[in-house]
Amino acid sequence: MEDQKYLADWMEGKITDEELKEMVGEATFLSYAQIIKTLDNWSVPERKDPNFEQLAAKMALVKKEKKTPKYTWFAIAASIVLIFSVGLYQINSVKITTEIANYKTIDLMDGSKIYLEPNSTVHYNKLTYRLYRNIEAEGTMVFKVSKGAPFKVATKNGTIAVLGTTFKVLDRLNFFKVSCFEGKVKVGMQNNAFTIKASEEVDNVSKEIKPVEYEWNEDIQSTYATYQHTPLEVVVADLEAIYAIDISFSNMPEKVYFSGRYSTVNLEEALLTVFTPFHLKAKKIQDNNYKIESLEE
Amino acid sequence: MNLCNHKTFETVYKKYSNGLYNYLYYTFGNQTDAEDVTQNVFLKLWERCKTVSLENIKSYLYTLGRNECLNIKKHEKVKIVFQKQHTSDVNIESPEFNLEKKEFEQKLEQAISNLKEGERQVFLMSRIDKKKYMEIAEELNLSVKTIEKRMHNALVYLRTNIKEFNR
Repeated sequence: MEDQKYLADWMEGKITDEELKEMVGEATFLSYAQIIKTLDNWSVPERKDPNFEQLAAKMALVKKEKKTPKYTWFAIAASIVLIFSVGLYQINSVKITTEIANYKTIDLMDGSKIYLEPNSTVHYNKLTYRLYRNIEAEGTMVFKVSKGAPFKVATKNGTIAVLGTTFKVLDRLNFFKVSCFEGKVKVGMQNNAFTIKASEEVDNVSKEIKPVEYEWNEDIQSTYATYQHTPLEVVVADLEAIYAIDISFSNMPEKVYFSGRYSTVNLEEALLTVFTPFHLKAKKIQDNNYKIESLEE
Repeated sequence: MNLCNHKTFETVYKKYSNGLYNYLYYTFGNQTDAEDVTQNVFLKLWERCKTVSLENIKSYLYTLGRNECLNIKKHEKVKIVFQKQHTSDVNIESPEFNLEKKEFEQKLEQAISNLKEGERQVFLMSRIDKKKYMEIAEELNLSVKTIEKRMHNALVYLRTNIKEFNR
């Protein structure tokens, strides 16, 4: 027999008393009605302690569960790995800076060398250096690069990509010059790219490849600073860094370039070498403070 | 609206604790057990306040109640007793009538106690708590069809059992 529910319908008022009477007969209807009527006056025995206060006292002792969404553990694990990686990367980050009048030679793990001149900075990461030799640089320095993975130098004025070679970077003020002594380097600056070979140089003012007419070797590096067609203010910035002096001009000549080399160990000689060709002389005002005046004065 | 807020939680308690208590009383036929389980359910709810959404809080409470019942010792024979409110016109009836009525009430209570648990819960939630079938269905996660079937069967059972007592 199919499940019947007419009594459920009757109790909910969907079937009237008369309809039910017809279905089940008067006697049965009356006993159903008596049950329902009796129940209508009944209620559940009262609760002894229904107040919220007694529950609140116990709630204070309950420790609330923390919300742990599905991916929490994964997120925690990922965070640990990330923090560890970042930490490892940070630990291996190397920054070498030379102060005024301070030279440094950096031996890199692949046999490459950096000759850092005063007031210059290089920055690289020991961990990633094995994979890609990327170096951030500022100031003046010579790179002697061993063969191996691509070697890249990035400065604010340009980038240099090399294979095995020796080259000099001059990145001061807004001036940027790369001189190649050995091998080949690729220089990028603004929207230009130049490939220069040994004994060639390029700067971001002329944007032309020019021959380098001087020799570079480690002995010369230690006693002379060498320039070729370099803005005087850039040379002066180097000079100030090398000797830890301040140089001011009574009348700064515009758009003049210096070619040649000056001693990095004898200040008197260096000042003469740099300024005489421009009919200028350096006058000592006080210790480490020089003023550049015209020769005629 | 955050369940972990004390005030919100109090509102939920005041709104649903009586209904839950009654349901548990219909299940156990024992006041102490019903009271203990009601309290445990709300403590559990408080413990999980961060994970429970307010939307389906009602059926969640009854589910917690059912789970708590499983933890409670297999209760002895259900013996449900109700509070009876005698209307004044009943009192002027003859003593014989009152005696007969009392006898009938006892038989009815006995028959209710002997109902199948599922039928008893649903039948009393409807007849005592005056809940709509739809409401009961939502609270117990059952279909309205099931509720109707249980209501029908419960009433048939009660009538036949009381009749047998009569003989």
